[in-house]
Amino acid sequence: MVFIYHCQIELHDSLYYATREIGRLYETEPIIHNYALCYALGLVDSQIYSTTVAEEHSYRYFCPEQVPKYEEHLTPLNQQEIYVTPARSLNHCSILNTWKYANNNYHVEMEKTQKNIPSFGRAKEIAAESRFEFFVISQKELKLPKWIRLGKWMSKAEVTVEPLPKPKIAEGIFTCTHPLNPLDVMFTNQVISYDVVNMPPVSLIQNVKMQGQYYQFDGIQNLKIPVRIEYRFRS
Amino acid sequence: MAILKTVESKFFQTEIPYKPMGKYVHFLTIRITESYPLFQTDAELNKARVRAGVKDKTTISRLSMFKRKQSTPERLVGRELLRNYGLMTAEECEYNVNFAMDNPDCIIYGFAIGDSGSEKSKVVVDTAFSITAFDESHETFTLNAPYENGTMASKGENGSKPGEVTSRINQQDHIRPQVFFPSIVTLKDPTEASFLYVFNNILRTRHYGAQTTRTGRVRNELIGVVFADGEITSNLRWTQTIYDQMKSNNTINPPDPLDEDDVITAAKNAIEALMADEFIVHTDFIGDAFVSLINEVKTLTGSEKGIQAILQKADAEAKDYAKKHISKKKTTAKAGKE
Repeated sequence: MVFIYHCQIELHDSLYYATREIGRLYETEPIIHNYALCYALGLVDSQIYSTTVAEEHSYRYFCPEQVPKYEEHLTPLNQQEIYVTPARSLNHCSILNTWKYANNNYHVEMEKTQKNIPSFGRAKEIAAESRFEFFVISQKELKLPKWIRLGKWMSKAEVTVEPLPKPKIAEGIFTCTHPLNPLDVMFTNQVISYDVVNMPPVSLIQNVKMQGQYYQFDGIQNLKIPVRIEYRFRS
Repeated sequence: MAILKTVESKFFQTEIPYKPMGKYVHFLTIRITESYPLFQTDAELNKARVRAGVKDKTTISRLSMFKRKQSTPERLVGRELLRNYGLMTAEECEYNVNFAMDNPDCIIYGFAIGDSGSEKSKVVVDTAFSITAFDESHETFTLNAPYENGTMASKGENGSKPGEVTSRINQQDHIRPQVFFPSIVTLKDPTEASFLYVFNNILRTRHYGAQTTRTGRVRNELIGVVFADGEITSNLRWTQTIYDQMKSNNTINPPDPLDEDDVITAAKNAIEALMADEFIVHTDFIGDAFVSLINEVKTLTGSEKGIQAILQKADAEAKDYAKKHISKKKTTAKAGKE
């Protein structure tokens, strides 16, 4: 039995992550990657969801190196058959903020840094009260947290979860209006056309026309979610 | 041995864990401006357009106090104390320049050093929003830089023409006194000592915002702490709920500043109502329940013996943590440098 949840996020603080960097301008695209959402929702390395990972990859306060471990962290979600789609904006505003590192001195002086790390820059952020939506597909009933933190500044956001009616499976050529992670769908469905949203680590696609099986729901037109999506890292 | 008598030890970790363990403590503060602070980035005060209340859905511009503008001064207060009591020297650990990675500040508030790794902050602060709208919460000042005689007219200093009026004049928006910013400071996986360390930093910090202006006096009025197994409501929702309450009680009367007693009452009622909506396990110290706790903390931090005991315990825990979970990486990282 499959459970599909329609989730909405309302930002309660401005949200920032660098979708792209243009010199000292860091821009936040109003789309939240599904990898990021898995971490934010607390689905990674969790006893509650039975997704604990091997000790050497476990999520810790101290990180000796800045190397992401998506494969090690997200594979347990596949085993539990939990999948989170990327989130798209329902309505949003952007704001520009300048940030800099504070320092301890009683006078202000811009010192040269030894390393090539900028100490100030401008960030285009998504404003508070912007709203996003995404879907969670699971073989078990899930209880998700109400408050999560997103982005580089760990901005607080409220999650509301609405279980969708029992889905029906259809097959054919369909358009998924919701953004998708191409790696997670292209091995099980034939992707025909799409628009790319450039972002690391895996660019997303939207307005996807594809062939294959999809979920649809009574009373909800236009909502078609491909069946058999899971996290994939190598073919 | 426990330092606090008013809080059960089950709310605290016995040592700083290396993984998030789902214990949270939330400090509920109202930050009250007592002078003319400046929170700005691009030569303009920070503000955000949001809904006025949860019920009142009109949008208003509010002043905002970004997270780091709240946590940085609090960190610096703690660091000052660590140095004062000889637990840290200015040489071995400099904020944002050279983190020593083994003292309470580094371990509790976190650090990130490109090739030596990063420690995630256990303290999370969110942007705080003013209860009242931007228009009624700021004033524009003209700034000048007078000559020695106190006037703007030159007497011929530095080869200028006598009698000439200087153009050293500027305008700047300032936040008014008695503007209220409800703000929740969250500490993850507190030990008793780290709880007291952060508590003390919040209580002692008196200045926020631009340091050069000398006008950033802000008082933190703590209205409670909440121990929980997860995150609680946001600053924005709390502020909006306070706004709704105060509006229905007719206690918002611009251009008059808000009355502090009204704000505190509304803040307590609002947070109690909001906490009733949360579906997590929580123990609240708000109102009367909070009085004995804050008194105990203030007595502790108010004496040299008390504050030293807290700092030493926090320091010992940080050193212990660093030795277990960081030191090996640190030496390799150091060795890798030129």
